[in-house]
Amino acid sequence: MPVLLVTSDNEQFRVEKVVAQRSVLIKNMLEDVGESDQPIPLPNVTAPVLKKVLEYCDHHQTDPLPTGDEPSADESRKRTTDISEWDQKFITVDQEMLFEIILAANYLDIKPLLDVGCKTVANMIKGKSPEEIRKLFNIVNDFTPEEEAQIKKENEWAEDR
Amino acid sequence: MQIWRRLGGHLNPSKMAGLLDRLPYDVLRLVFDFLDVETLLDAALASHALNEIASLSLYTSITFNSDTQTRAWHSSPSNYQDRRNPIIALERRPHLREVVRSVVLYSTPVQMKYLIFFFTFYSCRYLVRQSND
Repeated sequence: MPVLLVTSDNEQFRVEKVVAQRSVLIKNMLEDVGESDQPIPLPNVTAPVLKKVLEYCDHHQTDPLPTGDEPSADESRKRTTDISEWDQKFITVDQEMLFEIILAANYLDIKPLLDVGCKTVANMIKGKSPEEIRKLFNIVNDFTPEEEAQIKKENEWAEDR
Repeated sequence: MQIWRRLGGHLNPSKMAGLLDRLPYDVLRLVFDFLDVETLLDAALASHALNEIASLSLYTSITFNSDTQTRAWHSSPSNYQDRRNPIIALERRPHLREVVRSVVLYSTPVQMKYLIFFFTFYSCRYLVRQSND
């Protein structure tokens, strides 16, 4: 049974329920309204972004849904680059679209897509020096030399991990 | 709430459209959870705001080394001087105690009895009491 989704720019997408339900938000909304032809408004997602998100949902429609028993962040940290080949190609987009996808995945509650987006951003940061990270984040160094020394001293224990 | 506002904002005002500026705080936390320790250490030195986020991931799993300064294991935190342990930061920044989820101890068998005392003391001090607060 198809579901009608309406984006913030008033574009309509008719998609299969099994695809739409990759989003926990939409799944819960469908459960609330029951069998209904009512369109589902998605006021925080634009058409180009939803199109991209639905492409992901369609490809992963048969994947098992997250159970909440996923590895902890510490375990996941070891698998930062663990992104499947298809997902890597899918997420190879310009930075603007990448962040729109992350925001949409967060809003629509699509955990696996959120993870792919966050891992991609993490990979952009990975291996960069403090100065390079500042450039990436567009931030200025607001540490005094004393504060910087304090942080180095406090974190020295972690250097051998 | 966006992280920069939440942490008081340390952005260059002329560059407010920063790369990660628009990400919600929880999402930014998730990004940092995927970083390796080396990058977290570098990120912590980039700015106050990034230090706060990086520390929350860094202190999820902490390590106590007992290979030096054995006496420090049963001294009080106020005179604890072993720089290879996270006590200094946990004393100065108590909010980090709330993110500690695992503690790894490195010791020799001889030191173990001190470690048990030490670990029990600090587990109660940092983990159990905090989780009950």
